[in-house]
Amino acid sequence: MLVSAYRMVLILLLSLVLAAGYNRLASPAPIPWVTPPRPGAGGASTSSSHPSTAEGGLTAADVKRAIESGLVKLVDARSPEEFAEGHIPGALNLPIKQYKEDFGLAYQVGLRQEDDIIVYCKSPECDESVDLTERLTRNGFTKVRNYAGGIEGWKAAGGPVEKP
Amino acid sequence: MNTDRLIDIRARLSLVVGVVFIYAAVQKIPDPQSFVSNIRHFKLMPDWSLNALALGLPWLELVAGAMLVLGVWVAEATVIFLLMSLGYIFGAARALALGLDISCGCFGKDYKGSATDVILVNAALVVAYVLILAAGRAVRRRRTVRVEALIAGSRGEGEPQRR
Repeated sequence: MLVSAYRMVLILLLSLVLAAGYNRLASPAPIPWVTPPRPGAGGASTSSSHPSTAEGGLTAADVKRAIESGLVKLVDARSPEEFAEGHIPGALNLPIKQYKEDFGLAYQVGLRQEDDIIVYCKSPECDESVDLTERLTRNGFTKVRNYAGGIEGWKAAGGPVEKP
Repeated sequence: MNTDRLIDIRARLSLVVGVVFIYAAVQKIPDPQSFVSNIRHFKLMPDWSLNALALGLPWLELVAGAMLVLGVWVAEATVIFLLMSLGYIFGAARALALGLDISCGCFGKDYKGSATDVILVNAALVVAYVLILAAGRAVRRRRTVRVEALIAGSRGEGEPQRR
């Protein structure tokens, strides 16, 4: 079988050139080539042995202070079933899966673009809150932060949990 | 199977695979951010590389898919797809083993394929790649044999003169 590595490299280079050109000149939603650090950097890079904190991000104490100030809206990005099992008191439920299909859902649950918003999900290993933070930011919500510790970090820090 | 039949099978398979990938690419190219989210859920690649993958992979699918449709550099384009599909199968199998909740986003943000779907679709594609490569190889071998026979024949005609 004759497969030319040279031709394969050419195909790869042509693809990269087209991708770069489109992203720079014509894309309706251009993004940087290197992924910027995620808001409230958590996820797999955060040690799960300290679930109440996120490296460089919000801690459970920050969230508690934010709740006490009454100036922040807490948003739980998990499914309605998970939300019903227990959430941070006063949190609104905006499941990322449903929000991806209906951007209007954010307004329906009571969010406004000018609101100061903190999003969380289950734990530092979950991605729903990161996704939701990115989506909300792209859709014009300017003050969205991610609490990477999630409900598990909140509970580990002694935070109360509310059930419907 | 005769050579014409092999060429026909190869062309048809290349066309189908090429069209599938062009369609997949066109769905993903306008919204790379959604594809970033889909790739992130696999937890396979470092965070810093996700944007580059989401930008580059759909264009690679488009260019290589167009080559399959046009019948240009078919073997090279097929090998690229083979490597990509093996990567997708590995990522999906790993996600299944780790219990990750993934949606492949293979055909754009509205496609909600599970890890099992990714494995099945790509396994079927791998079969198609192997057939394309095998048919191409068989065609090339038969042509080589035919050319060698022609050369041998022309030498044979010259033998009486040497005597």
